[in-house]
Amino acid sequence: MRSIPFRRVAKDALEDQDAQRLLKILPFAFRALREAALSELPDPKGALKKAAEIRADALEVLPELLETFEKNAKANGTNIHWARDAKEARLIVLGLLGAQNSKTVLKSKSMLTEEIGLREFLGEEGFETLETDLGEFICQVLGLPPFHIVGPAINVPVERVSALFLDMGFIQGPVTDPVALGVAAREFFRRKFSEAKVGITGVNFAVAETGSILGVENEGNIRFLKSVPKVQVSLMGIEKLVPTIEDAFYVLRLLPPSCTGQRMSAYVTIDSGPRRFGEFDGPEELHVVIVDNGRSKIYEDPKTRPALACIRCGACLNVCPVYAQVGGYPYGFAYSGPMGLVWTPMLVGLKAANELLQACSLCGACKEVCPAGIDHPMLILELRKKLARKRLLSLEGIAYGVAGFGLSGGMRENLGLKILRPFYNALGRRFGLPLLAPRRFREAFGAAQNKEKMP
Amino acid sequence: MNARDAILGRLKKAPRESRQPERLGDFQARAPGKDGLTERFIERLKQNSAMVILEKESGDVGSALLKALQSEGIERVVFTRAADALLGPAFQEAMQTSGVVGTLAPEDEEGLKRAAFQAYAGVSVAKWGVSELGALALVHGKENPRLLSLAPPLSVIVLKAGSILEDLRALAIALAPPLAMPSQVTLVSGPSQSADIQGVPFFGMHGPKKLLAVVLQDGPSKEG
Repeated sequence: MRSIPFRRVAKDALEDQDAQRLLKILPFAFRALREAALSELPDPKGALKKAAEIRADALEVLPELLETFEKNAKANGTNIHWARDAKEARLIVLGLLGAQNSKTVLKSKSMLTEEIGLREFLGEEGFETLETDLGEFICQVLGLPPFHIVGPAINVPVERVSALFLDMGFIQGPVTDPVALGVAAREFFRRKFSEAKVGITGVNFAVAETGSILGVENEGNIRFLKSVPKVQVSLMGIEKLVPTIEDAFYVLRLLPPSCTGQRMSAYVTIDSGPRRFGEFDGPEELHVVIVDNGRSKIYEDPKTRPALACIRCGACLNVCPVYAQVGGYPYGFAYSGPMGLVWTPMLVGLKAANELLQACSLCGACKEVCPAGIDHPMLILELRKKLARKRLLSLEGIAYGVAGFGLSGGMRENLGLKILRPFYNALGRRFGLPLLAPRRFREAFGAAQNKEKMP
Repeated sequence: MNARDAILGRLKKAPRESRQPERLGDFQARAPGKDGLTERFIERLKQNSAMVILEKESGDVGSALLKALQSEGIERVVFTRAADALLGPAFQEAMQTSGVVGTLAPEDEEGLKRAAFQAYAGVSVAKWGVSELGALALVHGKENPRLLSLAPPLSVIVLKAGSILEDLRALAIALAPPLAMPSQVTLVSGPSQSADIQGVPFFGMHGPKKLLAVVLQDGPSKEG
């Protein structure tokens, strides 16, 4: 992947008045809502700590949980597929769609599908893939990346949405009431839902003991995609596992407060296989695609492993002083804010995320609010350290390495300077640079002292 | 090596700690004892923007529900068989004289879909309520299909007060093995909603614009 131009896009974001107007309110509003929702718990800090423990414990037995999940999901009638990387995941989905008599696919918001570029790929393969989350749909049609994990298009001015919906025939004239625009979109989507043949969803949690997958939402689009189409394809990262329903519910209880500031999202669906014999709705086929795409590499290093505990709530975005200035666009990938700083470099490569990795003041606000107990600053430092080690292999790194070696010891320093001084001064004279003194301060000082001592 | 074995192999090779989970207490909210379960459930459900009817099980549920449907201007209602069984013949009788047309959910896929998308209201049954959240837990199946609590603009969900549980932990225990999990369980905490355009919230983005919970209990009846 090409380098993420964080600085350039951030500069644009700083000059974008619409984004700046929203950023003055959005993070603070989410923060206040979160605090109010968590205050209903008798011990919010204790609850966050326990949720973090559940996630950390699950990661330590991740391979076994995956095996148990697979066994129980299969017993429920779910088809399980494994994908090593984005390409394999995309091809699995393509293969599943190829067996259906439909070129239209409806999907819900899913960070993983954005990470693997599923929609774009399916488009290239001749499938019309329609995002059904309202914000994601607006982003799709306008060709915008997500601005915020919760509200991907929340920064788009209402006039622009109106123009878009007018163009698409949802409305007959300009409308500046966001509610009226939402109602207009509802009518369009209902027709699409009623005809849907295949639904693609993400997964919030997967439960090993029951082979179930959980989906959390407010709009109801995920429910439609799990009710009408004959085929449901749900993609999940390998890290989504928890051992029991009780564990899933414990962490779930903290997800909406951390995410939207709600006590609970409007809908949580727990799917344990396709429709049973005699049922008249729900998918006849349920496929779960378990995707690695770099996660097992993150898992290999115990220092980076805690990043996999992330439950994608977005609480870290809302407290991040950098995100509060620039919004989601400069992060250049599916994930933004502190979670983006942690995940993106590990998925796209450290060098490509070089600028991104510097977009953190290490204030630690993200760590304080994370319901999964992720120590973002520690992880960011670890990634910066890894990036610095990689730089050592470059020409710049070699030059600094030699200089560092030379300057780190008295004898080496003296010798190095004596050898390099004539060459450096020759270059200095040629290019007009300040020259190195004939003697170092220590040498000059020593000589002056000796002179004083002389009778 | 196939993808499954490659992924699992890599994970298993990674150094792992044997963690001793801390014995942490339950830090999540508890409902105020058995007696307050229903009150808190209703209070929180209303906070979640739902309408609630609390009615004595042996009382005149039909009139209360029909009154609510009529006040919402509902003309056509589709019932799941589970809802029909729970509301009983008295309700059917009351409906016949009310002018509200009620039908049972068709027992074929296309018919069910058509009925759900065309109905003004769908009546379903929740197997449990979760007091701490003000949420309804629906177990879907042949008698209680998914679409009737999703596609109509008004979702009516009937629940017995005796099946209101304290919190999600109690629901997890009710759902946990050795019982086989149903194909789908849905936790409903309010109407369908979105705030994706400029952060302005509204109800009925894709699913029901309104949620009406009918709580049946033994005891004095009241309307909320």
